[in-house]
Amino acid sequence: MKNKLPVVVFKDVNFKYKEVEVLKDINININFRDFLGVVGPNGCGKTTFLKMILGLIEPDSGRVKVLGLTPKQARKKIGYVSQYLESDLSFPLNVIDVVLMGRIGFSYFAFKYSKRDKEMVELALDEVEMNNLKNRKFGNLSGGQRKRVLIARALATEPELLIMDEPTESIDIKVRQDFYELLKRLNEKITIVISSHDLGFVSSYVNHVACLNRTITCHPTKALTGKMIEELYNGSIRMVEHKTSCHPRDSNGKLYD
Amino acid sequence: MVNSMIDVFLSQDFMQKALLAGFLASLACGIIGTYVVVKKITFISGGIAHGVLGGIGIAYYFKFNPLIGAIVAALISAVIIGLVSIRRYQNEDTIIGALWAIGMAVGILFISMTPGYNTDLLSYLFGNILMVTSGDLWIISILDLFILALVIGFYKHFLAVCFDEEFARIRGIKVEFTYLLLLCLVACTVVILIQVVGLILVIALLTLPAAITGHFVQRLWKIMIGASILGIIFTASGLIVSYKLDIPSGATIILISGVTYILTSLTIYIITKIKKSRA
Repeated sequence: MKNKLPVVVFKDVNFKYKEVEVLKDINININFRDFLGVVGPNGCGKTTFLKMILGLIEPDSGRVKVLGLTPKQARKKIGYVSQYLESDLSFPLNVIDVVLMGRIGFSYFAFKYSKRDKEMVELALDEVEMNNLKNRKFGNLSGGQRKRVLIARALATEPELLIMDEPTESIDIKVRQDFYELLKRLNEKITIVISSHDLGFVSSYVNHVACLNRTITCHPTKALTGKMIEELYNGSIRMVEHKTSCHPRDSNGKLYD
Repeated sequence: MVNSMIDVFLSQDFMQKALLAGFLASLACGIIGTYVVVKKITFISGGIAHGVLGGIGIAYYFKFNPLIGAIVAALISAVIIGLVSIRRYQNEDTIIGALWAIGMAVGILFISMTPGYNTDLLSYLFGNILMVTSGDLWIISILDLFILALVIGFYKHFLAVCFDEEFARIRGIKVEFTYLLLLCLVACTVVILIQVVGLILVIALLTLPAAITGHFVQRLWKIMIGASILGIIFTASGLIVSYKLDIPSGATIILISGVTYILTSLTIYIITKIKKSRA
């Protein structure tokens, strides 16, 4: 039954940030075991869209449902990897402490983590191949390693939906390939939504691409082959060229200054 | 000879109480000071500390225990400053600075209006650990237990909120509540430390032991333990030195902590420089 219900539903969602229209008339259904890549130029609402699924940003109008619940009720079932980490690198904690945070809310121990918590953390660290560095200070890792730790933290939450904002940024090409293979494997069990500007790479793994630029257009990539990928890739180049159109427009489509 | 001096020192009732107060204060400052340092809320803690004077002044005027006035004022300013900080007003700095000054002004006004006002004001500003009474020790112990219990109970939550608020929120933690609770614990700690070094010097004792320990260990709970031990060393040695030289105890404790902090920071800086030039 869970498999039939859409995992995420946006219905007529609008959102303005300080008079600037960020999202307009967003309607989208993300289904169970979809692997959705959200692409679009910088500053065109990708992060806002993802944060809305998590209930961190409320729409001005319209409705968002996640797993049949409100985003706030559902958010514990979502694994999230943000684009930036607010905390600074001098923060005193080890890799394993960071991943253990993903287990908050699973057991009732106030201070300690349960055996199962620790097992899940080991598993998550294995997935991103960071188990050998688990006792290192988090702040001493490289940017790509830190990203993998944060992904492990999201995996440790045993999510039904995994949301990642620009996960491949600061991860080098070799690891990136492994990373997408990992996501593909995870996708056999859970729904995944990632944002990226790296469409060429993403399109060989995701099964839907949502082009976001104030409004949203969804393309299935399930049956994509040669020429279609090229078209899609062209599409992305078109979008890069459209970078200027990221600025807010009035109702006639004229750019604001 | 040193032994006999320490014997004399320890045999005095006020000295025993002072040492005990220093010990109890070090536990609180080691644990909560660690949060203050890693979350970088020194300025917020300073605002809370200075707001306390308002409560002390009002307590004086209405003739109830100044320590109770201090606790109430500390908690109130923690909640107000916490809410200002949570709302992320652009001029958060200015607002906290204003509350800081208003608290002190209220305190000074009420103390000046109190008939027969005495020099106790100075002991609140600069601390006088030698005047600690058994009643004070009881209140400090209760505050210590309260802090310890809540830190153990909320350890994971505090860590998550300090490290990554957004993720903590997604994990279902009530971030605002947790942050306010942490600031209330800062408030309790500040009240304890005021007994030892006075509210002007509170910030130093709150942050320096944790900052020094942070140079050497890299997990939150280890810093807490290290900072508590350092706090005990600083207060005890400060007490002994101030007793021997007959100088103010609060200032001596802070000077010892401050000099230790500067020396360790400098040493570490020089060592890393040398290592780099060799590499």
